[in-house]
Amino acid sequence: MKSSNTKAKINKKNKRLAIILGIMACSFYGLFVLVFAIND
Amino acid sequence: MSTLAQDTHHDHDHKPTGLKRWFFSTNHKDIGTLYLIFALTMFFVGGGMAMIIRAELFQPGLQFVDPQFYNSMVTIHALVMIFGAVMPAGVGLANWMIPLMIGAPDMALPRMNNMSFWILPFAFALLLSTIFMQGGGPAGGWTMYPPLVLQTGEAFPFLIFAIHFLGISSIMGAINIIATVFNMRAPGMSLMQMPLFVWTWVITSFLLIASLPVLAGAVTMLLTDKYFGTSFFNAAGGGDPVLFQHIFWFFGHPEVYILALPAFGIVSSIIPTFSRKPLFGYASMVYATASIAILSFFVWAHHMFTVGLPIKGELFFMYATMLIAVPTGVKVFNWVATMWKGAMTFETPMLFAIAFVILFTIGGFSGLMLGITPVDFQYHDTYFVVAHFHYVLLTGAVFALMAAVYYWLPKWTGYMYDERLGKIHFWLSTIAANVLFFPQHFLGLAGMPRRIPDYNIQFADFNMISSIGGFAYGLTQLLFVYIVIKCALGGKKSKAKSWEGARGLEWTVPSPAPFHTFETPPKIRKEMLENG
Ligand code: HEM
Ligand SMILES: [Cu+2]
Repeated sequence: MKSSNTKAKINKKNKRLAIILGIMACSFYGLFVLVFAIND
Repeated sequence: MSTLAQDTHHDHDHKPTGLKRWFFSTNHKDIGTLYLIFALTMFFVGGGMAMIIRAELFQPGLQFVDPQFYNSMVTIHALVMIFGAVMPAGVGLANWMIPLMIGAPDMALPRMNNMSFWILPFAFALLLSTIFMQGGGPAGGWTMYPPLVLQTGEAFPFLIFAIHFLGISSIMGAINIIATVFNMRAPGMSLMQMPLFVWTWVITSFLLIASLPVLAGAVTMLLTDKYFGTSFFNAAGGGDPVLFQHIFWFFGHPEVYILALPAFGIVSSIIPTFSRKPLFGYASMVYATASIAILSFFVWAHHMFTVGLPIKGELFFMYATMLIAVPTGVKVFNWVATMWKGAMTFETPMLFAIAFVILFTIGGFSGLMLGITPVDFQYHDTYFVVAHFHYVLLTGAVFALMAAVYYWLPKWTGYMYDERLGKIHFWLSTIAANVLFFPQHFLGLAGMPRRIPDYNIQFADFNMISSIGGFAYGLTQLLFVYIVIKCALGGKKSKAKSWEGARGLEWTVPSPAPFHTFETPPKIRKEMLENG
């Protein structure tokens, strides 16, 4: 049986990766709009 | 089979019931099922629109619908098929199969998974409701080029809002898949032992995360151009409408691989099973998939050869496009080499997979033709393009999805589907799809433009043939629904391993797969792996 300790650790790892990827997506979006907004 | 005993034991506790089970689901199998049912529904909504289009084009002249409505059908058909049918079907399969294939108990972020799905019905309710608004639905094509798209009536902000929603849903889905594959694999399952379906989905997820924000940015800029006085794409205000095309296709070309890569993964699982041989060139398949994904960000302007790019730009995008043929060729070679001297049998999933290899390649070849700058001046915006993308999307992506459904249906329902009906569905679909789309090559070469409800009488014969194929294809898909429902309700019981030649962790759990699987990670032995 997987101990609840490892489970909590995996959950934490999952959340951290999700946040990193989420920030990546948001910054792609921000970058695009920003670059063209400055250009305008 | 230690996993087996422990799985059935878990089956009996905490399986929620009623509406709660579906609305608040955090179970990867239930969410996968929701995605698949939603995708099939949207396939028929988009298909209904295709029937309207083909009815109008059955004969020259205007017969059934007015041109504005026709254009909105073409536009919404495409949006529904791409964002509502093919993508959600792929995500549904990913939900169902990835945890089973890598020995994980569920997706990494189950609550986010629920949200990713439930956004979709709302987004599509929004999008489809635009048909009834003042000024009709969006009608400028799914590519939403300004300045035309800015003439959309009240539907416009709803279109943009719906696209934002769809993007958010897919990005969350992609994050979930990456986290699942990176963090939740059973011990002993290394990255280079994962089934190719899992690999293609990881790579697709990165494409989604990198390309959808760009689409969101582009449509946001459309929104501010229309309502907030910016002129990103407005020449009168110092902007440039061609800029939109650059941004859109920077998203758009990776998008076509978002539709295609999971299909490659499916076929890479099915062909070895029914050839009773391991996949030929596993590692090269992984590298080819990654190369295609990377290259797909450097070819976008092949959609814009006729806008007047500098000649060096045209050459760059032509050569970059040709380059994609190399990894794609590697894949086709590997599929054929897998079948070579295999003990092949031809059950329905294998038939669809083989048809995929042949017909997707036809679409790839016409794509190569379109990628040659000078000749694209003739083909661009004609029916040749329509023929091309339907070969890669319908006989490509959709055929692979059909293959996947037949392949894993016994795992999902616990019953074998009716093989005789499956074969009939395959042959009717394949014949009808070719009658539908092959003549469109000729129409395009002869100069018939796309996105037009009327045409010169010289195009009448091929259009009539194409429409007959279209109606036949549409009708045939009702048979598919019948086969799936019949299988869900009962039939010959499936073993844990539904196919004699199948390998992989998903075949080590019982059929139907219990509500909870791999709560304790499986002990992996080499012969259990799809690519051991
Ligand atoms: C039931 C089978 C289908 C039929 C009969 C059909 C038919 C058509 C027709 C007649 C058009 C309009 C061509 C024009 O005037 O430009 C069209 C456009 C299109 N279809 Fe399909 N289609 C089918 C399935 C699909 C699928 C499965 C997909 C996506 C995976 C798809 C994606 C598209 C796209 C992207 C367009 C271009 C729309 C535009 O130019 O804005 N179609 N289809
Ligand atoms: Cu492209």
